[in-house]
Amino acid sequence: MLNTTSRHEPSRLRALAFVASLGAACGLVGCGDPGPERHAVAGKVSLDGKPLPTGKVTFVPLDGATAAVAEVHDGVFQADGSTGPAAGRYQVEIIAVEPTGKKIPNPDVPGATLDEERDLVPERYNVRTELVAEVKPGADNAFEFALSSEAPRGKKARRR
Amino acid sequence: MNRERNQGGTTDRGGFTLIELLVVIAIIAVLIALLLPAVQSAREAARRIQCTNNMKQLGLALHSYHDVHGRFAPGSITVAITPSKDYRQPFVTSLLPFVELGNVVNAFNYDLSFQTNQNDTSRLTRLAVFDCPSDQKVLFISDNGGNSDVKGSYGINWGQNTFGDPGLPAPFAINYGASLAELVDGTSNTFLMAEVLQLPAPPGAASTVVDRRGRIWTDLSTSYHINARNAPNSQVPDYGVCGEQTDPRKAPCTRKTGTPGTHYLSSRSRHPGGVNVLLGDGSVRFIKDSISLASWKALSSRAGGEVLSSDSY
Repeated sequence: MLNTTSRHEPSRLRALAFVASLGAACGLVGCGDPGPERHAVAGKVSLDGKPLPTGKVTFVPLDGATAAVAEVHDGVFQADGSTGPAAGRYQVEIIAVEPTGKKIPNPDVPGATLDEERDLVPERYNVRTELVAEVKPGADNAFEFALSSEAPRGKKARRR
Repeated sequence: MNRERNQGGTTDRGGFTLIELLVVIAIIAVLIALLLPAVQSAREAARRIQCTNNMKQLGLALHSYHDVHGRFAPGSITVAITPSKDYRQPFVTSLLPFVELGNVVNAFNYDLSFQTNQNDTSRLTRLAVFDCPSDQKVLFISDNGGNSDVKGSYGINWGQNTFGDPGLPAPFAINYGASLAELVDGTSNTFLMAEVLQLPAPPGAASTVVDRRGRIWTDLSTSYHINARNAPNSQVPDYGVCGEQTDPRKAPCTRKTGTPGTHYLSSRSRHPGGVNVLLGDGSVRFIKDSISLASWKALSSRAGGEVLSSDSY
């Protein structure tokens, strides 16, 4: 009798301890959702053949929930793997404003003024964007957007 | 039986060793550790229910307004008489008499635009029905405090695209509130109100740099005008008079002060996973962040003719 107990008890204990430690580990680590894997993107933006001095490129998801914003400096934008978009199809909105130099009354602060701004990029590249891009895992995800302030001339986004 | 076994003089009795007992205690401890965060989510669930109730009250107020005036309250009232004599009222002023805020109404002079100093008393009265308990309570400060008003957590359906362009017709617009008959898609398939975040001024910014999001006492863009252009709690930045540094993680923003027609604002809340939405029939639904954009836009249009199944939201 004694023999049987001493032979069985350690294995049962080991199983119990294993289950307990598994539970403890899960409780300690937590089960956080890291979200989809993001990818670095980079590219160039030009307006009428000249590099766009400043602005923002927004990747608006067509499928999925990961958006990304990249700032444009002298016609070049990039977002690294921590802030870039996940793989998928995106609408691309490009926004750039420049001050006109005039002052207009501030609608929120009575008596104050603010700098008047003018859109550099036409609406068909931002609020009514026609630009699309597909971010793929493993690719270099470089995009080039050649914008024109004149009438639209077909698809503007192309992969390098 | 028992007696017989005891007579055998063995130690084989039903019982626990010390180690077994310790293991059981450890397992119970782990289970409690798992449960504790759930207790805290129960608090958030309670806040969300109160938030839902506020929205339900606003829905009843809208329907009471409809009973009296034959249509829902106008999204905002803006009548330009001359540049100096403009008459402007936000959405909230039409609704106040119907949420039992009689004293606030009595202090308000409807002959004057909302932003005049004579209407400070009403603008500075915290409207509990407009505060979602999950959200912070923010005072909009401009003119270094000389012209301030309370913010609110509920906004109205301003269409699918931008402030100046609803895309398809929406229940609310400037000087316009739909009637029930004009909700052709069906009152259960059109949302009237949804949540917005009350956001403070960007930290460290000059007093002229304001964040309008959640400002219910104004008729200007990016305050309570929700566009279904992006999904609820979208990572796509709001576009308009907001602060890029205010809350870039929860409420990203691309700041732009000019051309208000292109501004847009997404519905956002502090509830995990979605926002509360008031439908035209007066019911309040919790809409998940993962709602398909097509369904969200279809919910926004009042006469778009979309086929929308109620299991898609």
